[in-house]
Amino acid sequence: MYLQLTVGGLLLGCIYGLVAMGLSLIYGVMGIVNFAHGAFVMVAMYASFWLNKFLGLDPVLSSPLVALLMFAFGVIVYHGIIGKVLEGPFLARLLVTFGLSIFLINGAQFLWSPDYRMVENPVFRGIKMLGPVFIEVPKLMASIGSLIVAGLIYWFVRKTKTGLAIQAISLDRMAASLMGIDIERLNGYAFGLGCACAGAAGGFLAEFYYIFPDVGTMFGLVALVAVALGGFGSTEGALIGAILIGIIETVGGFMIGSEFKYALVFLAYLVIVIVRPRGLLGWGAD
Amino acid sequence: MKDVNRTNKTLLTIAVLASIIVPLFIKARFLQHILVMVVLYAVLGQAWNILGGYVGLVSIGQAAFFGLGSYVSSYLSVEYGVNPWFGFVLAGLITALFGFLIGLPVTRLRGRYFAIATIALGQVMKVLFENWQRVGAATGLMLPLVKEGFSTFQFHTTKLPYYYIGLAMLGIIILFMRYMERSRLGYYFKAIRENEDVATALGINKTSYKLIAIAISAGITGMCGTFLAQYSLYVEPEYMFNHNISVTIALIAVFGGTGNILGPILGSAILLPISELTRAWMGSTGTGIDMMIYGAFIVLICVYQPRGLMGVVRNIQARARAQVQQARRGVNV
Repeated sequence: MYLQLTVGGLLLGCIYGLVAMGLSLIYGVMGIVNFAHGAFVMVAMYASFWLNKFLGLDPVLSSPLVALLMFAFGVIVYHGIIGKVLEGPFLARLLVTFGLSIFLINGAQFLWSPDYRMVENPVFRGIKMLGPVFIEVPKLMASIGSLIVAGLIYWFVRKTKTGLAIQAISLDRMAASLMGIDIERLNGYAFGLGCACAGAAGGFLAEFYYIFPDVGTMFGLVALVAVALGGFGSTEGALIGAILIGIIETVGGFMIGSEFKYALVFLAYLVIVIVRPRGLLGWGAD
Repeated sequence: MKDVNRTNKTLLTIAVLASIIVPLFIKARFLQHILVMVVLYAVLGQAWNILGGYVGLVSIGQAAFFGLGSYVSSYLSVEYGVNPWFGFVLAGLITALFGFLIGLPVTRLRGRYFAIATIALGQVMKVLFENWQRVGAATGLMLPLVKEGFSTFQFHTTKLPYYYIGLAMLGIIILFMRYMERSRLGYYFKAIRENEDVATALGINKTSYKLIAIAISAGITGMCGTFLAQYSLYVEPEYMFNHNISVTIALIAVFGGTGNILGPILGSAILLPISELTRAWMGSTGTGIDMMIYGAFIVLICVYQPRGLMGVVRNIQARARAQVQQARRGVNV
């Protein structure tokens, strides 16, 4: 039983991990805690839903397209809003994405009503036996997809020239700018990449999850907790934190009742940051 | 400088008199409702300000204290028939104690880690109350209707008494903050905000002062919770622990300007009417367009007015002072 739950938590954790990686990337590069990240996941889920409805594309297969769309969306949001508050006071930087999130969630409700929707006839469905555990195929696909995207992002940030420039900015803005790196443009890319993570995750989730305006909120909050757990600015930490949370949520939820599972997740956050005030792998200033 | 002081005093007197007298002529219930909300959120903004503006601990989970306070008095009133005024005081004490206890671990966190911890706290409290059968779980509690009057803290025919109670709360908290600003406590708070490590090096026990701040802030917020419970005569988790309450409180402070007394009052006086009016005009459609506008408004404030209204006022003052100085220099030459 516990093996089954742990596997379930692991699968869930991988998807959280993808969302959390995007969040961590954005934070690491420009110091913005993106409270709208959950709303971005929601937007991506709707995008997948409509692509499925009108073009008949399956959400998992269309997720690269959705990720690309979300990248563009992220770049626009950065240059329209985020870039303008980067030099502002702490509180403005903290609240601006709250506003964005409220705007997007209620915008979705305005455009598409609060109804719950679901993708019809997804390609991946059903349950498979794998040794002693049951595995839901869409969840398996989603977590494999998440890991692939996470790997791609990791490769991009570590190996490509643009990725190295992004890393340089997160290490030292001033020095990076003196080396001739166009900070504004690359910040935009980094924000776009973060959104693309949310986009890919949204695509995978749309395959098996209900879609409604508020759907992203919990994903966003859980990802936030995962990032804080792993340590702000550490992408690997975010992935580890997210997997940990997935397991706490499923196993703990089973033990004390599923209505308390998110309370447990937040409690875990409180306990861990109190023991390690900068998260598991965090470094640098507050 | 003397002239400036005198004009400030005159302005203050006018503002106080206006806030007492003008509402007497407002008969429309909806306008009275807006007034009540403005004073309530001004008090909430001040409570936030003590913690966020003076000590620098940014909380986005004030709803945790607010909801707890509303439940303390309501539960006592529904279950044991305790007078709401007694519940009001008790709510303040219990939430202050709760803030203190939560603060023991949480005030060790800095910056965004503290902010996220408060968000987590708000969510945990909401979930707990949604599943706590004893206090009505998700349905919450209905307060019994009783004869209206000051002693029962219920008024049905007019909302004005609520306004004056709220105004009195605001007056008391302003007096307290004026005292605090000039006291050792206020200076310690600011020292911690400006540089925690230096403050510690100078011998300020940062932990205890942070705990004092969070206890005061939580206590006042809890009393505001009782106030809203008596105003709406019901409590439920979705209403009292709503995350939007926490965001609105922080937003008022940002919009008005933090670290001074006037900021949250200005913020509340401008933001609350806008939010209540859009809700009244468009909220009933259920399309979420009112919240959409609200969200866009938050973004606009953060992008274009991130230092708050008090920042604008200060800029104008500084410019005026520079002009005066220039003029004086001109005379001297």
